[in-house]
Amino acid sequence: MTTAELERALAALPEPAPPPELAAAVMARLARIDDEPSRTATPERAAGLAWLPVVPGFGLVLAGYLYGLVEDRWGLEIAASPLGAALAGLPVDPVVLATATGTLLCLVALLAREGDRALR
Amino acid sequence: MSAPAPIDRGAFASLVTEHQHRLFALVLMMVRDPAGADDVTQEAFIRAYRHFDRYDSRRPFYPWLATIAVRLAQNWLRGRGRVARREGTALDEAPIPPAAGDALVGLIAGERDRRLWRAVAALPSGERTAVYMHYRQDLKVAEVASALGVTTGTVKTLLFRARRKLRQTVAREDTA
Repeated sequence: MTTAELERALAALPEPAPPPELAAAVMARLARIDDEPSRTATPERAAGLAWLPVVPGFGLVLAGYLYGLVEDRWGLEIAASPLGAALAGLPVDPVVLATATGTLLCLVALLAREGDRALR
Repeated sequence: MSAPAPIDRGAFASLVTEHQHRLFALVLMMVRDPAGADDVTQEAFIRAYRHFDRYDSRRPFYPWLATIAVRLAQNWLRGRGRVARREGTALDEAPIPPAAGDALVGLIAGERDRRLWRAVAALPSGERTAVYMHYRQDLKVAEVASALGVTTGTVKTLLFRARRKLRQTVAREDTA
């Protein structure tokens, strides 16, 4: 068999027919996709939103750290300000509370992100 | 709500009708398993529908669709390969599943065509895919290369090796 004969024979190979219900099955699945809510359509957006608590969380941690610096270096007392008076009734140190809340928010964002990745 | 697909479902239905035969045949030649080919073909259409915004409408549709199907079939084969390795059988050494052979033998009238089909199906995965896409489905070497994720030089090598093996197989069976 020459190369040309082989190529002609290959070009003429029969193509097996698909199962008769293939097109209907595809269209039924597409209908389900079009009808389902955004859960599967926007996973990237949902994953992006999971990071959102990091912003206030990091802000709180940073604010607590900066306040410590300011207080140590310049002896600035938040307790002497109107804000300090408002926070005076809290059972814990406001700086500790801010740092703990910030850390918690960062952890929540991280766990939500990891949980989303594990589910995919 | 989900973003609307960039193609109307009715218009996509006509693409499914038009290309299902050709795509199923390609996938069947790759995976050599009718049930697996059915699953992979369906999934390829679903992916094409979902990512239709990535299709360049200035180009023909089938090579883009075939690229999706080839990647899915390669994943399917890799999955099957892991099972085969666990069971101690390398994929390309595995015989064509009897169901696939039975499904095809009835469709192929000539004894020589039947032998040729079996010979193509017995080639290693890359070679049989390249041969089928290029010679049977008339795709350009560059389109085959893009679908397989290799260079055009690699496709030419695959085609050369496949032709040599097929000629040897056909010659051996003609003399037998």
